[in-house]
Amino acid sequence: MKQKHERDLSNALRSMVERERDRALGPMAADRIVRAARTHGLIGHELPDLLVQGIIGWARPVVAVCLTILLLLVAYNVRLSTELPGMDTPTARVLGLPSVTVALAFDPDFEDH
Amino acid sequence: MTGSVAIASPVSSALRAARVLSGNGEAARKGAVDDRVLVQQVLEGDERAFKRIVEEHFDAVARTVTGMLGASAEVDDAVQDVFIKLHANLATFRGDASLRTFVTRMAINRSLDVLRQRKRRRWMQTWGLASELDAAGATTPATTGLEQQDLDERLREALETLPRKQRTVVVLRLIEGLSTEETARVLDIKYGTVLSRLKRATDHLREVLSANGTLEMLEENPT
Repeated sequence: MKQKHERDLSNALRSMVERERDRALGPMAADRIVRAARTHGLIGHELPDLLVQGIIGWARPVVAVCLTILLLLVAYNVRLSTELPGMDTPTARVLGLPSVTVALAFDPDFEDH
Repeated sequence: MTGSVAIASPVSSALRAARVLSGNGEAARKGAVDDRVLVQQVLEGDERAFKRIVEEHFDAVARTVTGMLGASAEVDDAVQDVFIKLHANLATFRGDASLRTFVTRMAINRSLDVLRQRKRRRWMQTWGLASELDAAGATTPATTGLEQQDLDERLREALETLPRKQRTVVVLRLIEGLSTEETARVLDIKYGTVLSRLKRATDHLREVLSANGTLEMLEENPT
């Protein structure tokens, strides 16, 4: 008797869920899932490819920011050395060497000693 | 990288074995392709293999998610999420359990996530923070008979009175038709725990359904 009750309940629940499922799911749901997986870039790539893509995707902005910071630092140093040519190192002062700045280093008229 | 190779290695051997079998025509006689072979094909980028997995497990996933969530607009997205997640995690499939167990576990976890989101939304609604968030909630009932519709509503209401853990067991055992052992494996709980949760759940359901006369309706017109 108890088993019959459980069977009836199980059948009723199953039928209810099947009707609910038909209402809740749109048409061609399986095809849409495959299309969605393709859109997500999951299909047609092996795992290593996905890992590489993930790393590149993450690294790209980091590389761009680092390069910008590096260029700004170089520009700042060049400007500083142009504006303050007399700042020698203690060694240069002791040896009496002329000031060598970044700007001078790239100056074609500058002769080294 | 090393991890994925280690995972792929037994799968590759399964693929090789199946190719040998297929050469002898034995695989064709078996009539079913091993889950691991199918998974390996998907990992190699075979779209048809993934489509086959979706078609094979779609009904089970849809039933499980609907059983947990009801006829809600969230079901469609949740089912899609399960398969997208399945695809993304196929490399971790070792073949210890069947693919059905693997995918059903994901369906249950996704459904529980949606239930948690619902709970949060309801909490926000009580504070007037998300007044229109539940607008896309329940879908409109189909053109089933009024009596049938009424019965479905009563059953759904009764199911929703169950605590989540018990509801999960009812969905897997009574709706999805998994065995007690399979249910225990999917939920990663003990065999006895499944039995006790199922007993408590069915007792509770029987109590609720007999109080509103639904049990009598079921006995008179079994589905």
